Amino acid sequence: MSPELSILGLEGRVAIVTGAASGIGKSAAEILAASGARVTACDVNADGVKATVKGFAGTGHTAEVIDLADLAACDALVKRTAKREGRLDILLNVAAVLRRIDVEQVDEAEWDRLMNVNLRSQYFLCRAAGEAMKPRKWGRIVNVSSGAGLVGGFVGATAYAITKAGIMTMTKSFAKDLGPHGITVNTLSPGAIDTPMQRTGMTKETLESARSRIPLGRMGLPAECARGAVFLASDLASYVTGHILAVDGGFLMR
Amino acid sequence: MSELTAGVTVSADPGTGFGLAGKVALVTGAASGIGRATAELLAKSGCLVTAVDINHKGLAGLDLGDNGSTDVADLSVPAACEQVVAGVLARRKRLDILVNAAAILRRVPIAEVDAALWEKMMDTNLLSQFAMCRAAARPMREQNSGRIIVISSTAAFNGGADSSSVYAIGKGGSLALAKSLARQLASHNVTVNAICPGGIDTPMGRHGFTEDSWNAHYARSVPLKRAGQPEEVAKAILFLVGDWGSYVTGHTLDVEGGLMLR
Repeated sequence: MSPELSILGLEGRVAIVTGAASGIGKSAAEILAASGARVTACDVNADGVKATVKGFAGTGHTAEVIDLADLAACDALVKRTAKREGRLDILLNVAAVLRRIDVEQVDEAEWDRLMNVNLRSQYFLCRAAGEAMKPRKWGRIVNVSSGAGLVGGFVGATAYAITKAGIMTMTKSFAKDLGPHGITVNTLSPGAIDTPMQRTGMTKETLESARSRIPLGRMGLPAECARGAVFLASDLASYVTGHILAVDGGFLMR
Repeated sequence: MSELTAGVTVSADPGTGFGLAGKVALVTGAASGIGRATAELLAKSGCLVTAVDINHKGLAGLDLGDNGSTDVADLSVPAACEQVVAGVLARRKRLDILVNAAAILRRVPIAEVDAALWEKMMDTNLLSQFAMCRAAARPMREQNSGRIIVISSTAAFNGGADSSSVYAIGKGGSLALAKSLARQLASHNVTVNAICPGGIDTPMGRHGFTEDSWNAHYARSVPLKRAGQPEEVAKAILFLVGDWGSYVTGHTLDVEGGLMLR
């Protein structure tokens, strides 16, 4: 471990990261592992999440294949991890789905899928993780939302944007609820990060138009966004809770 | 890296640290509170720190390691700000990080605020930040890199504790300063962010509170049920001014235990 990273206080911490097969989740899980945490990486993509864990620095990590639309699976994931490791310190809720479709084409099944995977799973994972963290009076929960939750998102993202706004509100409620137990709960609001999900349904032209509206003049790397999440999960953010951290190259100016 | 991320200057490697070793940093208001904690933490992280304050006695006790320097200046005077930055450039040939923490707080009811008080507080809290940023922007633009932090306050959002109107207005100005400067300097790879501390246990934070009212205000009202320490603000600043803050600009980071939940 780089000695510089010891100030993060992550050595020996037990972390769950969802959406760890690709993009921001994968990068955040790798940084946690490189900082000395024991990481349980989760994704519905079995090959992807196993490959992520294989690439981790250090030992003691676990891959979990899980569909977050399944509530019982969310609950079982937290219980199983806390039992195996004897504790749970960190939860990073990164998993999300996005399909860019016209609002007229959003049917009930699509609505349910977005709400269940993006928002409902985070709620029940937060609740279960909070219970697992309370005994040690220390915990860090980071819920990844999106600038879409504040400004509506790019094309074809109506239902997605609603789930992301819900995450911001949910995070504030949990921050109040869990703060007295020494648990911080924060939102990470990524802007345009160059991930497979960001490129979904975008043409070369729409991507270029999105890029040109970012003050820093470029999209972000998954690692740059993941570092924001790991900051919130670390000792560096000990007095930050209920906050919406925007890692967006200046897009929101908020 | 793709055509969409062209221009990125940090590594994607998961072991990437903060990259602060050898960085030239300037911290104002460094004799006490948040400025002091920040100057010391940056020095400990490898920065070459110049700590500035009007209070020379407070600067004397600072631990800046082997490569620190101090400068006594009244930053409410823009010419003094220019001089401070020129001094750093003469010594170090560059400026990587500016943290604007200097501020004063006088609690005066609105009816009793006169032009002299308005001017004194606005010059010390806001004009000084503007003048420091203006002076620092020049070398940072030329280097095509830099990090600027302005310390605002929760008062910018909620008006502050009793009789803090002028303070709150100045801190609101700090937020606008950070955002407009962020826009202006983004194409030069310089990030500018604001910090909103609240409930931090410093002489200024406690100003006007009794021990009981301070405890009641923060220990009972914020979600974390305790006041914060200046070191906790310094640690949040460390994130923003190092390599980890490379894609954060124009942001206002609240370090207040969940006081606002905005």
